Amino acid sequence: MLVKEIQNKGKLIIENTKKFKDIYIIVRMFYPISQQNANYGAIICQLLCDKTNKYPSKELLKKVLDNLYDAKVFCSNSIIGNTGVLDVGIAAICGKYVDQDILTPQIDLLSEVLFNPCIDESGFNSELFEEGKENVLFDLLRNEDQPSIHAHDQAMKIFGKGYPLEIVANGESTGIKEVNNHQAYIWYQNLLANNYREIFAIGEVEEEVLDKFFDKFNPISETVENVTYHKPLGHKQEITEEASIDQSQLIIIMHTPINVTDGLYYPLAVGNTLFGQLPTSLLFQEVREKRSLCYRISSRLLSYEGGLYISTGIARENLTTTSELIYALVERMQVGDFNDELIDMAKNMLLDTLRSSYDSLFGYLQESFKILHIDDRASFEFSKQQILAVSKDQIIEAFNSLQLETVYIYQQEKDGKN
Amino acid sequence: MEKIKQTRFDEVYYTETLANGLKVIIWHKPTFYNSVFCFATPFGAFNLLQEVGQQRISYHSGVAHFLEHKMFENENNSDVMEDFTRLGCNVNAFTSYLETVYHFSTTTNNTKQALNILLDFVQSFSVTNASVEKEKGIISEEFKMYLQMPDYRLAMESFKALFHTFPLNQDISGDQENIMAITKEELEEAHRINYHPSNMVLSIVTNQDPEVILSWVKENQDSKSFNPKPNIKKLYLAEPLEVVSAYQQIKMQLQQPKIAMSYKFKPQIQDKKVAFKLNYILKFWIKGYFTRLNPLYQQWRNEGLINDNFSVSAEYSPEVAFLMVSGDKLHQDFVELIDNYLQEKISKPISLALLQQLKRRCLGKFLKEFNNIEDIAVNVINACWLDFTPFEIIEIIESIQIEDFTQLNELLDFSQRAIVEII
Repeated sequence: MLVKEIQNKGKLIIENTKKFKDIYIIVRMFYPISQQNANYGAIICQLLCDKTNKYPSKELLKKVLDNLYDAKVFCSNSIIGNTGVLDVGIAAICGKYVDQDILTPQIDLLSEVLFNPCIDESGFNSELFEEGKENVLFDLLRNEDQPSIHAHDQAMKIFGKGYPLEIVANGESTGIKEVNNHQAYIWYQNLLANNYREIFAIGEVEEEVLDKFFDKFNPISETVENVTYHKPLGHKQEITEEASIDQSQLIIIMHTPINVTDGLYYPLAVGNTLFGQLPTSLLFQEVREKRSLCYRISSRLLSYEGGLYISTGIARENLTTTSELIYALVERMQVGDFNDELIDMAKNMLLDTLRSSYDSLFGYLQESFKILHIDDRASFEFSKQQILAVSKDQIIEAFNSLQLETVYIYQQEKDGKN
Repeated sequence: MEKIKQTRFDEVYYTETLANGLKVIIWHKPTFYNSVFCFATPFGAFNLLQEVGQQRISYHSGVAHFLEHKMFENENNSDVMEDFTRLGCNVNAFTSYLETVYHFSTTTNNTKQALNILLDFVQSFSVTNASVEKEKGIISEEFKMYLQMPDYRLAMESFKALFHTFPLNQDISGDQENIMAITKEELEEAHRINYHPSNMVLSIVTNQDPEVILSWVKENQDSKSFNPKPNIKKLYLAEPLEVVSAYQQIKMQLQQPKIAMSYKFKPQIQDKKVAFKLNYILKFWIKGYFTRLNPLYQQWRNEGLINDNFSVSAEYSPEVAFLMVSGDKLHQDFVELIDNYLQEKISKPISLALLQQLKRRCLGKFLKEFNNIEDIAVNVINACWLDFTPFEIIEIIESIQIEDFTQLNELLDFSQRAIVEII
């Protein structure tokens, strides 16, 4: 991976590989975290993919993309640690497979999407803006109708209260309704011109072409380094909400002062793998396989902030049994009631997952983000050494840092379904 | 072992059918870290009735999926998943309407051991009555998980409204009643008939030497004996032309109500390749008239008839043919407008320029599938079920001509319609 600091303009990251049939070029723009900024980002994602000044209809833009052999414009808005991130990119196949120069029109189109969005005197094209806003609101409504998504969003809001974790990258309904076109347009122009940015290119790419593309951007003064933070321990809360659903959702979030920058992170990661990531994990074996209480159960780390997130879907009558069992399994981890063989399995599986991530375009993107914003030593070899060095005592120590903070239950109505 | 090199796409694979009938395809991807091994049988949720020799066998719906869950048990009642995890391999399985696939992937050097475990556990049946009963709770929760997903529920209720007997009217996992009725004996019979090597495909994508991998497969298979090859014929109960229910409303207390209007057609083409081509012609026609490629799409959007959740999908195969229009329920004129537009446009092909555009899109999509080793392995299996070579699919799509669209008007009669609303 080649990382180039472009004087006053940000960073260019190139992974030149023949592994993939296509080339990804992504411009990642960073913004300060707030729900209002995330709302802008959520709407703008909808606008940039649909039309540009040169291609002022969905039909015309789609025609250009199809003629580049199913090229895709993609925009995504996300919260990573303590920063907001708007990604705008284009993926297109490598020209050698169709005997045609695809890279030049791919970069031209990305420039058009970024620098020439469809506009009118109000800011963004008014019809496009209203439609984009409506799309975000429809998506939010549909998420409300998905019990697992609803439960996740609610649990994160409670656990993350007052911190970036509570910000919803997809937008928040009331705020979205209040965003006006002019404000959103100014926000985007400012983001594009002044905020820190990174450009990723993955595939068979030519460095000079990308250098020229970088010339189109303004100089900037700020930079973004570490995006992690330690969320302080909040007060313990258990919230239950009832609805007419077929299966209750249980989410448990435990606080830990360990995030991805801390020495005990790798022990926590190995511990989490054997606790709730594998088919051999304690959660899967004890809750699903031995007691048939659920179909899915797993845990994951909130690596940038510090947290262990456990989720499952179960019948209402099994809520108490399942919660008690999960707490008992956390205690088993805390007293070291797991064997060395499980630790070895977890290490092998973590390494396998890490190595596999280099077989996908987005895997490269994620791994390079870690190197740029968490630890510049975070290569595969560094992570491998850290994982292999984890001891049982360290896992016990890491799990003893966990404290129950949030329980969110989205419960089937008692006389409702099932 | 035959080596097939496709210079146009810079891809190489190897194929051989073993003495016991097992078809092995090994795709060589030397630049990838991961290898994936898929062992597949064409026994899925559609297969509820079979003729084996003189015997007719019927199954409870969901049997293929139930069997998939139980296959991970070893003779000593231990879990096969543990064996894979110990070797640093990710193992899983899935059941669709057409097939059941067991697969593992790994970046380690434990490939030979893991491959032997895969071949051994799929080719043996060691399930107990007690474990069958225990699994019913897990599958029940899986069924409920899907049941509360509004888009999934809309599609499922639409299939129920369309089909009297065709198994698309049942979830892949069956329903509560059928799940509870499945027995160990039924699972064992389904395994005995449908997991014979002559019926199966082993699809591998790897960075390792294909000759070596094949020698491991042969070594494993040569050490086993199998019953004679069963002569299996898939059967379906007669499906009336009429829909089951023209209108149905389901209550889920949704914030955003949904609607689907589905049309049932009589499958009239029995040749798999001809039906496959027609399926793509139908998909191209839909893309031309019911997506953002049609300027009218934006007009419908502006008039509030549709939003970005609007979609039209279709399937035309020798067994089943339907078209489904679905989306958020926004406007009372939605049904009438779409219904009229479908009937008006079915006799009109898309333009030649649009056909070329869609062919380029398909070629791009086809190429991109080689970026993902799991996609390659599954696409190879699907091609096998259709008796295609892996590259034949793109050749068939590229052979579509404007004149081919006239068939649509002859084959698709929109008189059988079912509407489902979820509120």
